[in-house]
Amino acid sequence: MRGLGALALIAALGLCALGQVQYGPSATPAQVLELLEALAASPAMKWQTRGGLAAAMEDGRLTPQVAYALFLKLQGLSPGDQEAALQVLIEPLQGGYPLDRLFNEALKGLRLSRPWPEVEGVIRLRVRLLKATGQVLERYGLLPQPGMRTDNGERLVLEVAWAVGDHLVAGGSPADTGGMSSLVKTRLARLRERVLPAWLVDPLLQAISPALLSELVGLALDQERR
Amino acid sequence: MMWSRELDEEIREAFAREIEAAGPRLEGLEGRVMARLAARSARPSVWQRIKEGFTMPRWAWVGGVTLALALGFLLGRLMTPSSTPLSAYAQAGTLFAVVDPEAQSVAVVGDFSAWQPIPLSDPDGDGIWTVVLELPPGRYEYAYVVDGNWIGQDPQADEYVRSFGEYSSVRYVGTGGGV
Amino acid sequence: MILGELELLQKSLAGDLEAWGEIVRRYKEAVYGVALAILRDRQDAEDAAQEAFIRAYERLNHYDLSRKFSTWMLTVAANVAKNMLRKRRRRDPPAKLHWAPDPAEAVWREEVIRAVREAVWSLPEAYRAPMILRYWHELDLAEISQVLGVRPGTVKTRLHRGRALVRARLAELGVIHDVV
Repeated sequence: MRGLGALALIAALGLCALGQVQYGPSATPAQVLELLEALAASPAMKWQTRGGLAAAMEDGRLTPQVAYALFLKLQGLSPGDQEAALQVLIEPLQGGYPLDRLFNEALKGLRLSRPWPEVEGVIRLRVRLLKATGQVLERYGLLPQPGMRTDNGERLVLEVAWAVGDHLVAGGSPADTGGMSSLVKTRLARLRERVLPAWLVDPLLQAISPALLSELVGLALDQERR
Repeated sequence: MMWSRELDEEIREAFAREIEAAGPRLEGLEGRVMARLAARSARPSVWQRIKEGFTMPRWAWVGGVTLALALGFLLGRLMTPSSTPLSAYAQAGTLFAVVDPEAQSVAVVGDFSAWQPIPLSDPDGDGIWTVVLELPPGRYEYAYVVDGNWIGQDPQADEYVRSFGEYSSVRYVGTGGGV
Repeated sequence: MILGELELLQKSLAGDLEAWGEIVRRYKEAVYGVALAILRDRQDAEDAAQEAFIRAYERLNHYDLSRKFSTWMLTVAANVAKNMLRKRRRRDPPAKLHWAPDPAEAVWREEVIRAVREAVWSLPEAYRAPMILRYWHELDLAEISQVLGVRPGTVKTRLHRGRALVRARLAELGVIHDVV
């Protein structure tokens, strides 16, 4: 797991160069932390969040502008929801995951004026899937090994987890692993053409199967139930 | 490269070229028509059947034509061809465009802007709202907001996703910067 | 001696196939154009054009000689092509844009021409048909409305949107300078 963490850090640096672009007003890490302080959450919760947030922005897993936009939106929630929001963000903040997409997902839900518990449910599921995908891909030897070029490995985990999540969030059945498998493959093939190197994607394209996804979803939903 | 003011002439030319290209194909069409008509006049029963076809009640024609038009419109939308990367486009960035002559305000929101609105503009008032964004290679999720309404399915998108009860569009931007 | 259109039509009505052949020669490109706009397939468009001339001849006694013949002829052609399109859609999956080898392709290499061509011909039929009638046949709104059997207001909207879609596509392809 330590290896995976180190891998994630290197990959995250690569990720910075891959998809990070922000339009709109800029923000600094200091401004993000100021917004965190202004939230109506308990000092203990804010303290726990602060360390993970600062580290994530420092190592490039989270763009300050995205974090700023989300914390600005969180100010508009009820104090209970603000506390709950930090609660759900602590794990990914501390877990070494790339965070822009996750934060953006929350921003999309809030932009669509969805109540926080609905947004939170989606975020929670996405985090479980990220975790389960990392575990399953590592178990099957589908992540780049240390010593090889690893700058896109975490991106791979993110894309697989996200595709599975899109299937589930849209109302697809967790048992429909055939449909899920074809969605993941289509998406990886599209990324392969444009963004991710073939040497990284091809082994995964071959290995993705309904059985592997069944294992992945089972793991994520088990975590969810726990 | 061309200017918008030259567009009408170019469209006219595009139609004209295609029809002119049919010259050899249409060669002798009159002869083929005449031969078929001559053959038909010798077989009145077939002729009669065709005539009957034309004396269908008006409502049947109207219904058929309406159905064909509706199908044409729907299928036409579904058949929107996927984008072809061109170097000129890649250099220009990624274009987001909405055609809506009645719109008062159009913006694009997406994960490239933390879902904050980026306005599209229509300086010449022809109903085409556009903005070009410089996006590095990646997969981008977005939607349009037209007069405050969420428009999640952009015909130019590579795929759609659905979360929080709404569709969003997705574009893949390649290493050249274009879609 | 070059016969006038009215005379040719009167002769055709009397059963003169030669006279009708002359009408076909004069109108074949226009009729083919409408059919191609609707069907977007050269072979199908040619078949539709042939069928349209046969049907028009058979229905000539319904044609009011005081009306503009071209509008009536194009209306028949549009109806034949739409009917064919409806049958084709029942029979085949939605057709992708495909072109048979084009003998004139060699001289169409310039990027703008190709881009405009692709943009125009990939428009949905609902936009393409009124546009070809406006741009190539140079019909007015009322005539287009009559040929296609849709209200003039709808024709106007479709012409506007069709042009807008072409422009958007060209902007996307990077062949228009003034994108924004």
